[in-house]
Amino acid sequence: MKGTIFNIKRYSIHDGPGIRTTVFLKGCPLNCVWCHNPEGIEPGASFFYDARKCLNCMSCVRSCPQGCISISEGAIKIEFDRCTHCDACVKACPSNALTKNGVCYASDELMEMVKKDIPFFDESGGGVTFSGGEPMLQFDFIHEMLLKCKEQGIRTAVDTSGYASVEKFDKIRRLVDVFLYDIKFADEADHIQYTGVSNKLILKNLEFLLLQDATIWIRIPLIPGINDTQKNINETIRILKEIGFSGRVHLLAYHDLSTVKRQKMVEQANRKTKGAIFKNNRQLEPDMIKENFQSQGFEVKVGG
Amino acid sequence: MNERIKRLREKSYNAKPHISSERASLVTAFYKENQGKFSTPVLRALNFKNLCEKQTIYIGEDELIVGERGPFPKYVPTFPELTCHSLEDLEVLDQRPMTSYKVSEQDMAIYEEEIIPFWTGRSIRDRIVPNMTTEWHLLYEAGVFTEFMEQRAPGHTTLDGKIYTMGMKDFKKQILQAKEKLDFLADEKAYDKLQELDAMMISCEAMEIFANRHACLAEEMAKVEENTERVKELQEIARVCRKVPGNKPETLHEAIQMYWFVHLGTVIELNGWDAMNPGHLDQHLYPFYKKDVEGGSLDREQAKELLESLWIKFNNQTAPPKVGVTALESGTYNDFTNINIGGLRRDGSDGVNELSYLLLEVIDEIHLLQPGCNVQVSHKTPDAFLKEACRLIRKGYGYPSVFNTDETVMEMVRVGKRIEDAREGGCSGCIETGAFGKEAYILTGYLNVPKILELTLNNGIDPLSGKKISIQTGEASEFKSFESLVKAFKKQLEYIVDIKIKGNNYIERIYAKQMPAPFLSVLIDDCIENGRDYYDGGPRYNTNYIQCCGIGTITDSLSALKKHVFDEKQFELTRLVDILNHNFEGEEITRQFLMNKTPFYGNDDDEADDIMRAIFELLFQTIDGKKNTKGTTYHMNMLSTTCHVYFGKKLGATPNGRLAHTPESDGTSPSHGADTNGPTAVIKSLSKMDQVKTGGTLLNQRFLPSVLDGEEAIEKLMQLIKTYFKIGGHHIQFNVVDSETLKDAQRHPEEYKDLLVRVAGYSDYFIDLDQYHQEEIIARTVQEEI
Repeated sequence: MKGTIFNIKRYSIHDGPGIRTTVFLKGCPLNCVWCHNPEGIEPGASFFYDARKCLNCMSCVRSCPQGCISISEGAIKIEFDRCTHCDACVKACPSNALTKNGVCYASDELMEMVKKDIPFFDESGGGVTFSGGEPMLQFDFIHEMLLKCKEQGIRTAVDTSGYASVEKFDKIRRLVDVFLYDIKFADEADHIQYTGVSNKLILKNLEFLLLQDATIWIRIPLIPGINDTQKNINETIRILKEIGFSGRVHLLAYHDLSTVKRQKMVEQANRKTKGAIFKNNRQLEPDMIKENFQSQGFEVKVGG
Repeated sequence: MNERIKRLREKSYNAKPHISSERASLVTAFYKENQGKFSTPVLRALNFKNLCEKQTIYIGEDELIVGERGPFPKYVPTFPELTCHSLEDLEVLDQRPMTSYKVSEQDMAIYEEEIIPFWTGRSIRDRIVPNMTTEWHLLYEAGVFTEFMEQRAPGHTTLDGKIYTMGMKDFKKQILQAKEKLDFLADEKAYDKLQELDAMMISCEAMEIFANRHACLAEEMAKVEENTERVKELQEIARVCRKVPGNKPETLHEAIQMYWFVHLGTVIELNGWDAMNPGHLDQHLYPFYKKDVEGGSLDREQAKELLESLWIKFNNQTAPPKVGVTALESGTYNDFTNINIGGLRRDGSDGVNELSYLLLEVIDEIHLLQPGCNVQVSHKTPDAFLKEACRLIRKGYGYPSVFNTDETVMEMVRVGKRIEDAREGGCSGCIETGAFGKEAYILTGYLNVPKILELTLNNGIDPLSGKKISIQTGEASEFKSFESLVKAFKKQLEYIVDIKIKGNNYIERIYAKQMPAPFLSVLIDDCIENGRDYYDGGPRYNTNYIQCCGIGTITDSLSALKKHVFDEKQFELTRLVDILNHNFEGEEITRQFLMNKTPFYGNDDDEADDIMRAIFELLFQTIDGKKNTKGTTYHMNMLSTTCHVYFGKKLGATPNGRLAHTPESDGTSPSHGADTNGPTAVIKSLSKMDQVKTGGTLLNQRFLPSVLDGEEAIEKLMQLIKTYFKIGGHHIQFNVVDSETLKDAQRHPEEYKDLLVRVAGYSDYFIDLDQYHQEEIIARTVQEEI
């Protein structure tokens, strides 16, 4: 089976226990305005174009058998309806100004990549983390990968928005050592406004996994002025307690590195990610939020 | 740090290096008077004794541990018998912007009138350089290799624990016994041995005289001192100096002073490379510490004060600068003392003790340029100790570096050393493996491996000069396969290594015959027993090393040629060579293509790493086992120190997209910017090198402080190190700084006087580095979390 991967990051030390390799799977049902990995939202392959690196050598234009690339005034245009994803342009680009997001890997191929850092996993209690995008979107592939990891004795983590059917979570829960589970808003209307989907299913799945004794680390991205309000924090704590969660909570700082990524993403007509920057509107300091959680008995860490 | 140490530290930090002509004057006068009257070893020993009797001695305010190499802290003696500075050298040293050495007009005049006229044609350097062959000169001048022994004596000496159980009086007894065993009827070497043993005896006496003079000075000072506390201290100093090094030490104070006198003795006698190193200081001093503390005569803070006094002494000793063109090029210069902490004991048990932790504390408080230090990590080392060291690494002093003791032991056992001696060994100098107190470990010079590829591609002609400097192994147009190219490279390599070794073996005899080191020989087993000098095969182990530079650059270059010329046929080799010889002029697209579309070393990519392995194996087969003049053999190291910058200057553009004259890859690190998959990939690539076949490898990793924030990150750093060692790594070191800080330091050097960075096998002040090295540090891959 094959999956579409947009990044493999080794020595990942903020995505679960120990030293890990994080595999980023492409495609996400959510569309969070602050998304840190906007290139992971579209399920299919897409492109990055870095104008600063471009030598204007036209190698990409010349190499395209479909003739569907043009460059003018520091901007690239790809006619996606005619692109066959032959990758000739990417291979021809001498400076890697044009690169691809989304490479197809067979599960065995990906296992070879993942296995490279086994000595580090062994020493540190680390393993592989499937992230995205939303890894549950390529469910059959991730299921197969999790099975293969278990066969090899590699510990696994799934970094998820929780937005997938409960049956799917049921099917993989025994294969996952820890779920890194995002909780973005307590309020459903806010959730819909900023991520494009309701949080009902997300909370239902969380409850389900807790009942099944899955190990869960809650992760809350703190978006200044959006979800770092006292109200949202209070509500989030209330909901977590209601569901019966009492474990680890990670507070993830917002950064605006995605702006650079968004600038580099080659425009696609039907692209749905827009994105916004959140800078000067911080409501509660992360340390304050940390205290809020700690006072309610949660184990809290600022950072991954 | 207490007030006394603060004052001493400040003084040491602010002291400016000066050249002192005192030693040169004394040596010159002595040679004029005595040359020809004695055998060479005895002459050298009497010269040493003359210095110990006459050179100015110094006891500073506040000092507890006493003695300097020159007349004052950072007053650097010179060694004209090895290599004589010209007036021009002295002027450059006086005026160069980076760490100048002040030279007074009086010293300049002494050099002009007494020293230069006598030593011209007599110094070791003057006897080496003109006697090397034309072939050697062609390669040497083109920067294909360097030669260590034309500037300093062979050194790299590290001590074992014998000086803590034996004083000079005990050594003299041993020497006497060896003399009594001499058999003039059966042993044709008996005369030579007798001369050497007599010389050793004189050296031991010289050392005692030197210490006694300090005792007298302390007593004199006590007589006129008004502060009663200081009077007591001076009286104690006098007592200690009367006791050691003549007798074995019995207190921690005596043990530290013992080491320091012995250290000074070796660096007054000669100017050896990476001059002198105490070895496993925590293991050596622990019994004294334990006894004093348990006996109630000393508490932990007082012990720390004594250790910190020793640390400051190391920093007071700037190394004598080089002569010739390099006087201009090399910046700060030190003796590369690298104190080993942790590791194993001779019996194989864990070497970490309470003092190991105390030494980490000392390092944290003092953090001056010298001494450097490293932690030795074996499979028995407690995590708590390594973690403490990691916390120190995070502070960004550039040390401690970290060594894999288990690998080091295997490296030594592979070349035939006894297991106990191997365990007692460790790192001397930068990253080199040695059996402490039992080995003459001779580094002979660096080898510019990428330059050899350049010569292969140009059929023996150096494209930078147009001169034919090596053998002909075929034109580029004749290489029809990658294998045929590698075959030609092998022939060039064999030719060049032979030329280098022929030169070394000549030089080695010059030192053995003309410049023995009888005092150093007393300290190294089994020189006394063998009646032979340290430089003449006296030690238990005698090894020679060639240090191979640029494994990253050559691997990436060959990888580019293999992929783009031979496999995918995107370029004709002749065209590419032409592009390289024109430094990619008008060919930026080609350069970018080579840089970005080639599998590079450092990414855990077998396509590149297999080439690294093949080249490594070629180097090993060519160098390892070649004979030296002491009945033993050469081995190889994978170390560049700062030579990859010099070698880079002497190298045209390379097929990996590197521009002409820019630095090569350092140590065994990947080329700058070539590793893009993070530190685990770098470590995996490195682990594919069979490091046990070397005498050391060097891996630089730079981390931003943010990456090492918090206890969890410290834990992960430790796990990274342990994994590297588990899969065969020899050494790893970290620079914990961010590039913005460094750029700011370039703009405002005055605000960053304290900023230490790891340069190669040692730490240096960033602002003292020249721009080349500064840029290079900035360019090193940043392991940044995004």
